[in-house]
Amino acid sequence: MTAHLPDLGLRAQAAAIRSGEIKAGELLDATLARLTDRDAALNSTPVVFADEAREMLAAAPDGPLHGVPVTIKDMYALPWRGAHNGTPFELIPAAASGGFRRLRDAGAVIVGVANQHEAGMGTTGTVSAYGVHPNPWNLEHCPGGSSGGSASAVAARLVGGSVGSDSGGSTRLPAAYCGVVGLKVTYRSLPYDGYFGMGTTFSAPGAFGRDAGDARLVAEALLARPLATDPARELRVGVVRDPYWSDCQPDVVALAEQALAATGWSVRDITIDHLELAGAALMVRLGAEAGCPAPPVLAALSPMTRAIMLANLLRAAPAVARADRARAAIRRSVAAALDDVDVIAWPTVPAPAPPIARPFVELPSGILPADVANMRQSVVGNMTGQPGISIPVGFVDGLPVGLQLLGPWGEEALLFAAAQHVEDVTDRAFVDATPPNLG
Amino acid sequence: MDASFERYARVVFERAGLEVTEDDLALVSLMHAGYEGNVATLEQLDTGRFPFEPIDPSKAPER
Repeated sequence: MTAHLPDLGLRAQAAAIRSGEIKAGELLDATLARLTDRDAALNSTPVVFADEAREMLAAAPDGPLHGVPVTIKDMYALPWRGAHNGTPFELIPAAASGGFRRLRDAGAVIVGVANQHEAGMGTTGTVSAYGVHPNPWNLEHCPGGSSGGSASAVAARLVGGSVGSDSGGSTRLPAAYCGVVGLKVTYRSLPYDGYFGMGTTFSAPGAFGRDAGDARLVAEALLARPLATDPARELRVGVVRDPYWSDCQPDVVALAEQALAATGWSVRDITIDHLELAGAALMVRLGAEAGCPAPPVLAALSPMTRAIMLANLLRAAPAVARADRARAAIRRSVAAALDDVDVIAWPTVPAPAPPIARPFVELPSGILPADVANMRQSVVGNMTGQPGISIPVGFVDGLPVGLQLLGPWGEEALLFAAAQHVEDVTDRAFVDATPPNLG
Repeated sequence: MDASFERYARVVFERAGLEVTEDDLALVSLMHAGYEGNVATLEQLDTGRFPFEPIDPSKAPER
């Protein structure tokens, strides 16, 4: 009678093991069975490690995640498998990456590699060496990306938590598409060795959980420190109407506004200078930093990803220098804004997950590739390195959407407290919702 | 595809030791058009108002 154990949330699993109510080995067996039974349609976790997971469990220290199964994105090297970054190639050799060490030291058991958008170069999850990985809420739609497998696995109750990454929204965006909580930690707040994101100045690991409390537990493991759980009943929230609210689908805006209104927080419109430059600056600089892989890897990529990588070689130094000028100004503007408010809020995604067959979204400004529209909503957090979180706030046409909060440097605890408050005032209606037809 | 862009791209890729197809070049041209749009946005910067300053991304931004 252990089949239901994966339905427990992450912290419930951890607490049940700690109290002796369940055995960690039973939970691991139930999780592996759940992956076998339920992931065929989702392909969220294409590589599963039963043997290595059992070895991790046997050696697991008595940490806050003792014996709890999680997945990790294909961007982190593991002692038994290198990072492939959604490609057929081992791009970072097998090693105990910083992300792995933090999970291991917290007692977690890594059961598999989470699927992701190929080379991390997309926010839809439509392309991967491991194949398409659909959205659990509608198998015809995108899970988001690039950490789509992490978000999907948590939403589908395969695992209680997962570790992703976020170089341009890759944790927050799939969290919104799949209806889970996803937090991008502060830049360089854990060791980056063995992490594919170490090659850019924009990337940070991400923590996924079904709700704020579960995602907090993953983040605490990554950060190797407890995060305060003070309630966030009174917050000053800044809202930047243009472009973050003005060019979203009306239903998405309405849900984000309803959630904010329910919080009782002090919400006011603010302006942040130079935000109109954020997308251009990030794309120019990130492309230059990402560069182009070696010919054998390049040859194996999908045509679109290969073109992105090739185009990265054509970045001009003067443009990169201008991008840095813009980035410096944006960093100052956001810091100044956070002098007057505690967090800045806007819809995580401008529209719900589009169909896999046609990853475009229709916005007031017109029809845009989902990547373009999504990254506009997310890149500022990568420009500044500050933490950001996406919280489920409702459904449009049966697909989840999220509210994004950007917080001050190192203030992950504040974001989780805020997320938990949103969950409380919405009666947990959205974090407790379960995708249909999970099998 | 603009002929001068194609020549430029071919030289860069050849020097990088990368073989590219016509289809690759067509998609790269598409990507590059987006990049040119971003560059055009950045070229509107008044460099007097946007001084060049070192960024330490591992430090909190300051106002």
